[in-house]
Amino acid sequence: MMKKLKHIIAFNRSKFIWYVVAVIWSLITLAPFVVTLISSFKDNSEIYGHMLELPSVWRFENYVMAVQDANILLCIWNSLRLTMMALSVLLIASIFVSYVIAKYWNKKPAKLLYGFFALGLMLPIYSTLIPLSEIMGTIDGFNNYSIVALIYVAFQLPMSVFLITSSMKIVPLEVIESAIIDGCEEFTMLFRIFLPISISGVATSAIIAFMAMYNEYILPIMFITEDSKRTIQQGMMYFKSDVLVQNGPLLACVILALVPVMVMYISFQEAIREGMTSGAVKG
Amino acid sequence: MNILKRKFSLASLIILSTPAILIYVYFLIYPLMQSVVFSFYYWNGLAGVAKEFIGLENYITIFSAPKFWNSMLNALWFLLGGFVVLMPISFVLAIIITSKLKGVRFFRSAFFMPYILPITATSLIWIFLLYPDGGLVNNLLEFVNISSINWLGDPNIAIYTVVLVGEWISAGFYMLIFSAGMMAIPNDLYEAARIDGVNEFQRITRIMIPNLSETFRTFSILCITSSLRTFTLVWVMTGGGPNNATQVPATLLYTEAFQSRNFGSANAISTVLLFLALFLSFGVTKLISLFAGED
Repeated sequence: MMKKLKHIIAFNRSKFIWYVVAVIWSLITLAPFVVTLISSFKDNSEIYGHMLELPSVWRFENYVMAVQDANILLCIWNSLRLTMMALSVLLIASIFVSYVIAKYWNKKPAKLLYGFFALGLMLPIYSTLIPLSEIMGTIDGFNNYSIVALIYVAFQLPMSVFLITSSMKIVPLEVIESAIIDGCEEFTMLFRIFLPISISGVATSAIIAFMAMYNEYILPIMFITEDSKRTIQQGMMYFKSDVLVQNGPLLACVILALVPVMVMYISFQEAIREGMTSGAVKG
Repeated sequence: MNILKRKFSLASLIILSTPAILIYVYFLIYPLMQSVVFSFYYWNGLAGVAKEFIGLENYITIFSAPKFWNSMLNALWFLLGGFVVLMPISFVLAIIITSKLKGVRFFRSAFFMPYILPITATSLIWIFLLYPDGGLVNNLLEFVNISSINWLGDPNIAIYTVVLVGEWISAGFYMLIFSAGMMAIPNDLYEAARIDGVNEFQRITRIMIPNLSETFRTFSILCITSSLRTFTLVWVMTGGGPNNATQVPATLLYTEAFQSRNFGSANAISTVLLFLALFLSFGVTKLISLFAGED
């Protein structure tokens, strides 16, 4: 009896320690966001030194400034538009090429093609920036969403091809062979056999690419200079470049910028976590 | 008839794979190769000016520049921080989210969240929290009587600050890597240990860690490659400053090219970066499996 009790106490003690650690790290992760949210309703004098206090006056005008001066809603809309353009091209291109790879998975050229794309997972994309800026100059790509979107696509292709191919590879060879004997054409094969089986892989890669593209920083900074075309990353920096940084509106921009990502995260947590880890473990 | 059909099929396969290959090659592979080629040229970035072949001079320039080695050293801090700070934290977090504690789903969502948010946003938030006069971090330190620290403005500590913020962001990601490994450990191992009266500490050191060698390998590779890729975090938080103290290779290459207009040496840096990334990705995998093979 005593022994059993001791066991329970010991067990609960270790459980208690894990709990404390978990709560502390939750505070460390979440507190910055809470402080940001509170501070986005304050002015500078109320922010510094009083970060954990609620604002005495809730200054909604910070949000009005974010919308009117930094044009943050337009920036969010621009980011979403650019992301959706890139995403549709990315999905079509990577579904097609993954189909070709998966269908001939046992053949050498398909494996080579796969390796060629997988190589992209290791390349440092920042090494492309200088030549890219030159290319963009010659093809008049600056401020041109369709061309900037194609760069987004190029940067995301390795991950998408990897994720979609691995979900298409599970189609058994016999199914493919008998479909060929039955005279099944490429498109029928793709849309009737390969796509339905890989739909969750396609969805995962779509979500991951969405997050990566919406969060993309350097490409819009380099290639989008027109005010009306600025993306959310540039929108967030709007008040930062002020001589006197106005923290309230700046943080209001940050909070608004987080909304689309948070919505995506809350709706697709499982897929995001699964996709990001499986992509990383292999890559 | 049959041959005609086969030919048609081959054509459609080529058509299907062309868009992806074209985009990938034109916007990623070709620029990378160009940056290798132009690392042997002098160019000031002006459109009309011809590039001039100068051999290895760009490499001599960067290898004799202290700021290049400093940027490499900073990348090394990211790497070291990864093994010393990030690994234990994400390991502990992984134990928590694979346990049967109440509220595990909440913890998992919370811990992973910083990783999926735009780095611009998280960097701005941390600049704000780390503000020397009246920022939250220094305010909290005041309670324990530590005088205020200029986290990002002091060239001697700025890099550590940035590294730590980077770890705050990615802890949730590596937590998932570890937790995937932990969940793959067969349950009967724990069950047998429980019957033998193994305590929590032994459970971790004797059962968990030995069974996670594959996961530690994955962690090492990811950590090494990602320490070379850091850009946005440094760029938004410090811009490489103060006084180049926090430059990492990627930000240095950007500053060299687009602020100092030394496109030649910037291309040399990017070539070094490219080969280092390839070498580390392939080499380290090989090396680790070599060591693992000897065990």
